[in-house]
Amino acid sequence: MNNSSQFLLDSGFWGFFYKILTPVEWLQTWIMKLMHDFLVMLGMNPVGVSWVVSIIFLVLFVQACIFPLFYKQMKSMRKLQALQPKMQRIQNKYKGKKDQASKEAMQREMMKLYQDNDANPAGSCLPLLIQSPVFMAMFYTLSAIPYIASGVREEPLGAFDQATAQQFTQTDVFGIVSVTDNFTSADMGGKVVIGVFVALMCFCLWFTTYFSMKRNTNPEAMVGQAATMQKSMLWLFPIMYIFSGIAMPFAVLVYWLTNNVCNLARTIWQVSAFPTPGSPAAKDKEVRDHKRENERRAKAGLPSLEEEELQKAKEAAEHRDAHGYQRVQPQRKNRNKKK
Amino acid sequence: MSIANAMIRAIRWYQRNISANRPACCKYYPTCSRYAIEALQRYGACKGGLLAVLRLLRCRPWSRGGIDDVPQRYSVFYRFSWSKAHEEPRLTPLAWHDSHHAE
Repeated sequence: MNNSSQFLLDSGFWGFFYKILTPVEWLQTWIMKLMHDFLVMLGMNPVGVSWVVSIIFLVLFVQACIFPLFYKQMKSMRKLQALQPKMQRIQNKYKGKKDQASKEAMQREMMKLYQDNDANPAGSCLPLLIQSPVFMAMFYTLSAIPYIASGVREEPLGAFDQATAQQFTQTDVFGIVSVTDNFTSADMGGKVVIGVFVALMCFCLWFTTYFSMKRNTNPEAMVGQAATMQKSMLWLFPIMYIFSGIAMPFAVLVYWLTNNVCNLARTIWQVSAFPTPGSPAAKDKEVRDHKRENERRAKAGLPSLEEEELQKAKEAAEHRDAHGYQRVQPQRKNRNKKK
Repeated sequence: MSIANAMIRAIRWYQRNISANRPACCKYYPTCSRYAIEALQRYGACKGGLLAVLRLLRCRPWSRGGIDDVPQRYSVFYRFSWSKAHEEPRLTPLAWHDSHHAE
């Protein structure tokens, strides 16, 4: 447990920043408190795992709030695939033109196409911008709780008055590690548990990046600077996580791990449902869709896709036998009328 | 104008050193940084800066993106069709229009 006599996060520039985030913190504490009360009502012990479950619930809540944004983005991507022919037409129009004016005109036309069809390849920075303050608020809240409990930070934070905060700090996970411990302050057993959590967290992040790189990128697009960048990202962030993971209290780690697991699950779902065209995942999806369509047809008593194709080929062959191989010249419709 | 100039130089620095190493990812055209430079040049640090900030705030998941030039007439509300400064999206950049008038 942390027993320092001053709560450092409330002072200096960051103190001001966390003050701005107060509404978010307030909301988060209430979500946790209400979930906790609900769990206690269900008969769980008010001190113990119920608080950890409410932290996990908070993550799921935040993720559920952000999900529609991601979903919309994916839908937009799908619309973009339908626009491919029109985009190619524009690209062909400006093929081989390297001057500034043509380039600009091409980009403008492309943008107009996107705008008119309500599709856009670019995401926006907002989901990321939302996530980081929410995470910061979370960090602040979970770090502030021990100080509220010990009375150093006098005013309560949202739902956490001194009594609730004291209850929270008494929470042990597996009877080994307190939610307010971090790697340096925990005892041996706690260190092991925290180490495992940090490792899992890093692995989740690494695997999310690796999986989407391996399965969801077009191999032809993975050349040059973008590829090197991606590859360095694969290792850079998990390693950064190790250092920050050690400094965070265990409650934050629970939040973080759950968040990463959610991100991983979402990525896996996204790669299977909305893969990037040309990627290995897209090829798999094609095969899967083909199979599913055949199953549907078999159930409905219709010929399968292959049978249908064979049928068409046979008809074409018959037609050729009957009418010869010569293509019939197309004729103007009003040819006879005109005479 | 020195504040605006300093801001423009900062944006140019961003474009050269940060933005150039990444794939294009703006949902608007011109990109936010180009828009900001143009707004600062035309309307100065305060008014142009405000336009640039509003443009950044328009980068939302549910916004449509598309062509969004700095308005020829200053108004914060130029995106609304009722505004006098409202402009239809242009398929050709403004400099071309100008040169056509000159000829």
